[in-house]
Amino acid sequence: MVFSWVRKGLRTGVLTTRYPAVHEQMPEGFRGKPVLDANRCLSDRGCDACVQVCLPSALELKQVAYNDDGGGSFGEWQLTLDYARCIACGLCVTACPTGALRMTDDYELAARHREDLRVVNMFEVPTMLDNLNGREKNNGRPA
Amino acid sequence: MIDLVDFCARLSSACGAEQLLTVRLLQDEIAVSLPSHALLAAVHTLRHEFVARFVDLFGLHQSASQGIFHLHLLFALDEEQTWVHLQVDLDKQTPTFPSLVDELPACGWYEREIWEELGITPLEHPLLRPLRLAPDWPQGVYPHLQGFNWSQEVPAAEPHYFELEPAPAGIVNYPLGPVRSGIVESGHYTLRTAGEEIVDMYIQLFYKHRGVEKRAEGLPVELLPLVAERISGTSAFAHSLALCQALESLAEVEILPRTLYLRALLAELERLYNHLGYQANLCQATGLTVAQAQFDLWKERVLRLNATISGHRYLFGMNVPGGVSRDVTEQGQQAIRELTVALRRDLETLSRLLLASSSHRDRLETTGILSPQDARLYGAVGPIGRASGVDRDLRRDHPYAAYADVDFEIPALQEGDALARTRVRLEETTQSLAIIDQVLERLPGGPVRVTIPPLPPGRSALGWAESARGECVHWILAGQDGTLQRYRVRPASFANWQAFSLAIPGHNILTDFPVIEQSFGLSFAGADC
Repeated sequence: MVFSWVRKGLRTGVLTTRYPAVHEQMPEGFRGKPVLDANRCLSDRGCDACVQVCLPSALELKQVAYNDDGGGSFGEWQLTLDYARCIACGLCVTACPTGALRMTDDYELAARHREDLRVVNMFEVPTMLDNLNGREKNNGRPA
Repeated sequence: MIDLVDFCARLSSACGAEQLLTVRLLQDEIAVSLPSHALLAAVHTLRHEFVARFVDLFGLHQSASQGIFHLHLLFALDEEQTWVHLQVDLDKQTPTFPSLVDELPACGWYEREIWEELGITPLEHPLLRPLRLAPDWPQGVYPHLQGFNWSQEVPAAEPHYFELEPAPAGIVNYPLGPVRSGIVESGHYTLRTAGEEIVDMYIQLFYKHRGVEKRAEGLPVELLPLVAERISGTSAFAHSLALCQALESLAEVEILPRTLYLRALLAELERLYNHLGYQANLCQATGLTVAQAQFDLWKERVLRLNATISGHRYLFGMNVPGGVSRDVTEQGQQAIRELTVALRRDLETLSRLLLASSSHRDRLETTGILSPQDARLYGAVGPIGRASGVDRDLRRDHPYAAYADVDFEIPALQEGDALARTRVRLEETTQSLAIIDQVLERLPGGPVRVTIPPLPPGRSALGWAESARGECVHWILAGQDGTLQRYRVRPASFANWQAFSLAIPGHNILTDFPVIEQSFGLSFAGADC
């Protein structure tokens, strides 16, 4: 019986691949790392469709505030995509109205530092800038 | 279908006629409300007169207006393809119920869970101590109470570790785990040996308790399958299927024929890679390296096939409420056909070689026997139950997806040893291939997904699926805002772990242990959602 197994093994031959020296191609439609095209993203215009469907809170949208002496605040919108939290479910891609998010077949997510897994996208505030009367040039303070 | 009048009459007379409060017939479920003092009699009657099989026992806490604490017991009437759901309203001030352990030993763990997570006391329970919660979980904080939120911080208390009694003279305590080589999940065993023989065993599981049930409460419906998939990665499709079926049954939507077939197809692919991986692990335990490599190779091929058709090696993201998220293309179907043809041919050779390898077979025969009687008393399910004479399979006994339309056999054996468990799984692998062939042959056309309407508030539903490790049963209760108010999961491995400890002591030696463990093929995370 030992010989039968040996024969079976020899007939099968070597099937291990040379990964990582030779990259393993994932099939079409594989859900790997999602990426964001900030140019098409509308998160600075009130859209948070992707954030709403993100169960592990890998996507986070917040406004980085500069305090206004008058008591109000304004600032840039900041959309963070944290690959350490992402479960690659792809729901954000489906939810995105402009196709700014897409899934890639990239499965190699290893990084040296936790921070390397966070991608922060900053957005300017065009609609707000129009109404600021030059305060943006003075770090948020009235000119 | 069961004769409901006769059912009510016999159950009433057993409990005392005036005590059986209400009986409602739902779609696949007979719901019976009864007072707690009639519980024991009702359970006794169900088990002995109707040959009902115990499935689940859990508690429910509702707001003050809805009667506070309830106890739910779920039984299966497999011959009649019906579920019996007993519901008991408990006393508001001191919620208690008579422990059912004497009548039904399988209840032991379930009652401890109710006690620690809801504060409901099972009276005269023989071993009332925490089960799933961490040792530093503070006393009096009950995570399944309505007001408890999954994200709230719980301050760590002084940890309470369970101390075993000192071993008698001549008996050696042999600790194993929680982190061990070769095993991917954490569990701690204390094996007590007299010489070579294992005379007793204590298990400490539940290092992986994540509070999945609580996390699902209040979530939008479309995110719920993501939670169910994470109960156990290797049963992700079965769990999300059970949940989606419960949601669809609650929302009363009819699922499209193509979806039903695709779900059966994908569920069988999940069973295939699990059963192939199981054989590989068992071969590793017995030291049959070439066979291990062969089975691992096939497992990997199935996983890659899964990635091709679903975008995920473990089929995550396929089930959505109302259908499946993507269709299986003609190309994908062809890839499945090619794999099944090659696998069937190779599996025949591998099975023959495996069962004829004395070094493998000798380790399995009469090792880790779970007697049919114990299997029944402790509610063993899946291949483990079927290897010990519990001839039950939800695909046949409570058909879902397209299983009513395909022909397949359920292998069942009486021996209950490691060899029987292997043989059952080998035969099931062949049967899975037969199911896949039939599904592909008869696959109807059309879309694969329907939209699901909002959940009706206050209503509940049951969903189930036969995972590779056995039946998983999900129960959901919709709240006022259309989200889940309570989500209850009874995974297959939770039922089987209790039976596992019975198969170890007596006529097994220490080196049998890894073989027995692999022959059960239990999931740690799958018992501990």
